[in-house]
Amino acid sequence: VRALSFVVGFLAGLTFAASSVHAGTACEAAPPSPEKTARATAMAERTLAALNQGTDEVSLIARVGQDLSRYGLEYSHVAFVVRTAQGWSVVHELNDCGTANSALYDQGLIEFFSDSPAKYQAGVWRLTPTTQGRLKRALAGKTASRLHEPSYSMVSYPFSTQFQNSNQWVLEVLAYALAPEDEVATRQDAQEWLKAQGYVPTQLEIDAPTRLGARLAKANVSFADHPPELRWSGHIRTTSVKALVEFLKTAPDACAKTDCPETTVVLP
Amino acid sequence: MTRSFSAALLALTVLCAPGLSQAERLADPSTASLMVSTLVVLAPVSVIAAGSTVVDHSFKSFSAALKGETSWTVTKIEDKEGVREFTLKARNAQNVLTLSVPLAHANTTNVQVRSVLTAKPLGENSYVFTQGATTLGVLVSPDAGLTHSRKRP
Repeated sequence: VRALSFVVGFLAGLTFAASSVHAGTACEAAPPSPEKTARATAMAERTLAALNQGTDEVSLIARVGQDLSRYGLEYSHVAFVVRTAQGWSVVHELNDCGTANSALYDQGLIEFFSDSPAKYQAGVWRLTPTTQGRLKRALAGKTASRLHEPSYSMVSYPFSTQFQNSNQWVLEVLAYALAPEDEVATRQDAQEWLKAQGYVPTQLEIDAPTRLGARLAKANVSFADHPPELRWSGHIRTTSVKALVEFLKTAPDACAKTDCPETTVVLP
Repeated sequence: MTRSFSAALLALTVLCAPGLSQAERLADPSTASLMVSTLVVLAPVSVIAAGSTVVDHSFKSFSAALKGETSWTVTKIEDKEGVREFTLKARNAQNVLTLSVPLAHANTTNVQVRSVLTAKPLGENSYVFTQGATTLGVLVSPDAGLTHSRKRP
């Protein structure tokens, strides 16, 4: 388990910002600038061209919502991208305005890159045809919703069903698609299968004052689902894009090519 | 023959955004919250031949006009129910283009009659309209599937 601490600075900052940031407050409208929209559209066009080079029906796509490079992480958020009759659609879980809830969304590539990314860069990972087929049925049917937990925590524990973050939803749907038929019906099934397959989450080191401050200030951060022995020692394990991709590299028949190579799309 | 085009630039609406600073918002390691903009194509592109007969609704026809001419001169400006309509004429004077820009954004620009706008392709399915270094807006083909947002029940 790799020890990381990228959440610490942010969580510590929140303890000082608590007077102005209240959990679950109403959202404020703040339209993005036309310049950002143009950049997001250009990025979406490049990604579309990359996706259209192949015949895949479902791939994984990730974005750089924030700069985590100093922690050895490139991407912050992963989703499925699905070919439909109307073009490509991103299917992903989004946290609802800093509240403790999330929902599943179908969005265009422009929306995917409109969320003030730290860098206009996308990673795309191709999957085997079998995995794509199972994913496409799962995402179009009830499985996607059945494996979604609306109770959201940014640092959800990967082996608990109490909360779920966006990357964890993708991982659990992938578990459904990769496991033998009828082996994964519930989130608990998915987590048990992932554990049995040796999935290793990312570990963050977060001290007690920071955890307390974050919990008081942010509705979308909770540590209640973490095992006490890990929680009280400050070892917070959660699902990152990197952990997910590393798992895919070891899972048989997951990726279209050995070692699950990334196709990188960058807007200069 | 003069051909007339009308199109709406993307209207930018934010579903919601948390009351956090930019730095705090960016600090979410696993997901972006719903500060995603909702991009709405206000109307399909219409291509109108001389007179008022609609002969085409496709982005393809609109795109052909923009590929043929990148410089457009503003000939008329009119405010209508939350949008400002800019009537643009191509340098060759054969094509006329009407762009609807959300008024809130239009007010931040300095586009006037006789201003010259530039239309530049962002890819196969979109164009950006600029005046100098100022971006007026983005036009996206409604058929490309690049912009949509649906919350699942």
